[in-house]
Amino acid sequence: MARNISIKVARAEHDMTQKALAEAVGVSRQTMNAIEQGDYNPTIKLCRKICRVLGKSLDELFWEDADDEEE
Amino acid sequence: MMRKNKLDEMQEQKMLQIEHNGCWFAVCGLLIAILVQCVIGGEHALSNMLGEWIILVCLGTYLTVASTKQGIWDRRLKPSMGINLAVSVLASLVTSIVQFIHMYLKHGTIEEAVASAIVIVIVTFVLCMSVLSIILFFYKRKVSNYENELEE
Repeated sequence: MARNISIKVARAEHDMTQKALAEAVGVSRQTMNAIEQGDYNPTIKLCRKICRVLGKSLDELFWEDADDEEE
Repeated sequence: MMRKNKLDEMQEQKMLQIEHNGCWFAVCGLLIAILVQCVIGGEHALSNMLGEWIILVCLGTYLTVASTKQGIWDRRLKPSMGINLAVSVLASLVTSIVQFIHMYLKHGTIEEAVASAIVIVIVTFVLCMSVLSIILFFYKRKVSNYENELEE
C-alpha cells in the first residue's frame, strides 16, 4: 500500500500533529502513523472521521490511482 | 472499568491475529502432548492424556461448529469430498503410525503392532470421513440458506 501523503498535507494545513489528529478521531498515534505510512488500511468509519476532522472529502484523502493500489 | 474496549481498530485487528496464533499454538501443543504421551506413556498413556484430549476435542468442536454456523469452511482447502478423503487418509495414516510405535514399545512384537495399526487406520479413516461428510452436509445447507436469504 502506498504512503498517504494527503493526510499529512491536510494535517499540516490545520497545524495538527499526528498525536492531535489521532486523539481527535479516537485512535492511537501508532494507528494514525500506520495509516500515513500505508501500513494499515482503515475502515470506512475511521476514514470518514478523519475526513470530518480535516475538512476534506474521502476522495481527497483516500483516493488512489490504480498504479498506487498495486504497490 | 473492564467492559469498555480500550483498543482502536488496528490494535483490535492485531490482537485478533495474536489470539488466532495463540489458538493454533494451543492446538498444536495439545496435539504434540497427546502424541508424545501416546508413544512413551506406557500403560497409563490413556489416563495421562485424557485432560489434553478433552480440551482438544472441545476446542475443535467449538471451532468447527462456530465456523460452520457462519458458512465458513477453511482458508485454503475447498469443501469437497475429494479433499475430505485426502485429509481422512492422512489422519488415519498418522494415527496408525503413532499406534504402531505405541504397541511396539509396549509389547515388542511387530505382528501385534501391525495388526493394531491396521485396525486403527480403518477405524480412524471411517470416523474421520464420516465426521467430515456430516460437517460438509451442514456447511452446504448453511451456505444454501444464506444464498436463498440474499435472493429474497
